[in-house]
Amino acid sequence: MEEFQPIPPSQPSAPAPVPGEAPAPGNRRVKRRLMLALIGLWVVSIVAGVAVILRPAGEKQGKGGESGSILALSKDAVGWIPIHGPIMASDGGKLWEKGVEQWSRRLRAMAETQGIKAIVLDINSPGGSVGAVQELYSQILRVRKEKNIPIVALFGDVAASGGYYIAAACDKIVAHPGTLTGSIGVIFQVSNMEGLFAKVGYKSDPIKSGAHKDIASPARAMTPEERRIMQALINDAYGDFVTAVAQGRNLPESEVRELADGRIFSGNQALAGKLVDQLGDSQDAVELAGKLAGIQGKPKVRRDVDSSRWFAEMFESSFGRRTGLDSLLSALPQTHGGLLYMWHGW
Amino acid sequence: MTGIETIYDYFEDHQKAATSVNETRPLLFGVLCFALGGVSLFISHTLSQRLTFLTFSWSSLLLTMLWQVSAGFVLAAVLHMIMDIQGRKGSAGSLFVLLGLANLVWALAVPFILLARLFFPDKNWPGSVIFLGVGFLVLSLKARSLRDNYHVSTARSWVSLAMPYVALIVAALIGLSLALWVAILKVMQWAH
Repeated sequence: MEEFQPIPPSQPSAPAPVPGEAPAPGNRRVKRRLMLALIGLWVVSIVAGVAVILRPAGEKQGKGGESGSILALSKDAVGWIPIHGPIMASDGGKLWEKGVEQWSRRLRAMAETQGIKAIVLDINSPGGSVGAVQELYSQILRVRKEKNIPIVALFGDVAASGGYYIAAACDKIVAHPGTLTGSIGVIFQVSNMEGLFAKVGYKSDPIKSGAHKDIASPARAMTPEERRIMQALINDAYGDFVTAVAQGRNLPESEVRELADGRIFSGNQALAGKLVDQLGDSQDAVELAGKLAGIQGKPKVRRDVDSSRWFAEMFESSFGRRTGLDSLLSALPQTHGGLLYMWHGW
Repeated sequence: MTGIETIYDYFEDHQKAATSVNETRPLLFGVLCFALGGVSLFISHTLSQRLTFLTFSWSSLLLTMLWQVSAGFVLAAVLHMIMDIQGRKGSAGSLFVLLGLANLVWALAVPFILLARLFFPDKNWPGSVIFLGVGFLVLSLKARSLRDNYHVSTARSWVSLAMPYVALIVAALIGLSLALWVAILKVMQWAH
């Protein structure tokens, strides 16, 4: 047993701290240690939080691909991106505009979104300009390769020409029985207004650096040589289309060429011609995408919503009504120039 | 007195901390507190999947920190103005630092959210309860800071603190009502 040791008189007990005075050194040390411990705990919790957020996707999944693991942040989902209207480059590439830049950006953003395991492209488009369609086609292939996620195309009313071209880059295609698709081909619309110009007394007299600089000019008829040049151009772009379909659908080029005379097909006909994989609706497309991604059960859908465009369209439409621009524009025929993967019947 | 001791005193002896902050006015320390509070808020929002407008990235984190510091400056300025109108004397700089110290409490949300996700992985309500609880604690500490800095009653500090938030809500409601009114007028014009 330890003996009682009296405090020597030379060591007085510590006085009680007086408010306003500097705290005793021991008290300060305790404060510092306590606060450092708390700050350390905060840092640990932040690091743990960041680690949970940044875990690789595979670790978040439980057995059988289910996302029921501890600290799972999100259920696996299928992204939904609508591609509606002609596929063209936007006017200025602004965020709220509609065009191939915005679709490409949204596709990539969706593929990079946490929890997105597959994407459904809801296509309702008669096609568009060759450059824009090929850009989107290339972006879809890139996203599939880089992010390793399946992409399923769902056809709405129409997915013709360029609309079908981009679908060829997807893993699978789902169409409604009455969808209008096909129209595999290229068109370059040239108007000859020579007669009209003559009537109004207009005469074009271009000064050219070369013989073909004013090729496809509406002010005169095309020469046989120019027609040959244009046809070669069309054939080249047509070859790209056929190759894309043959590669995407895993069909021989000869078989694709038989279907690629520019005609349109219904969903039923397209299925018979192996241009689509199955007939179905949006739910079927989501379930197929989920199945390809290995999602168990009914997949959650995450829709791509662009609120900025909604606002921009609201103001544009208000402006159009006020100024009468809407009625003027609707009276004009919708024309698109240049080389087109487009079906004009829609 | 170091920053660590100021934080300790803010929770242990808040009047002493207020006096100390009033003497030294460590504004940079206040900025750091708001920024760290912003980090906690950002991480906890991401963990609870409440990051609606931003994605998880360094730029988003910096934006949140900037937003927290800016909001802190504005709140301190508005509250100082409100107290000044009421004839109360105090330092706006000290108030900014004390509000920043209150903002540090968002650090509590991160471990709580982690625990909530551990025990209730498929539920959203624990996150809401945590944010409400910690948010109320932050607000109460802000009210206390106001009380310590301007020597006002608890009730007055709460009313003064509520004023900017209520003003913001009222302004939003007025804006929404105006937008709705304009939309109704447009629909009526279109119908005619």
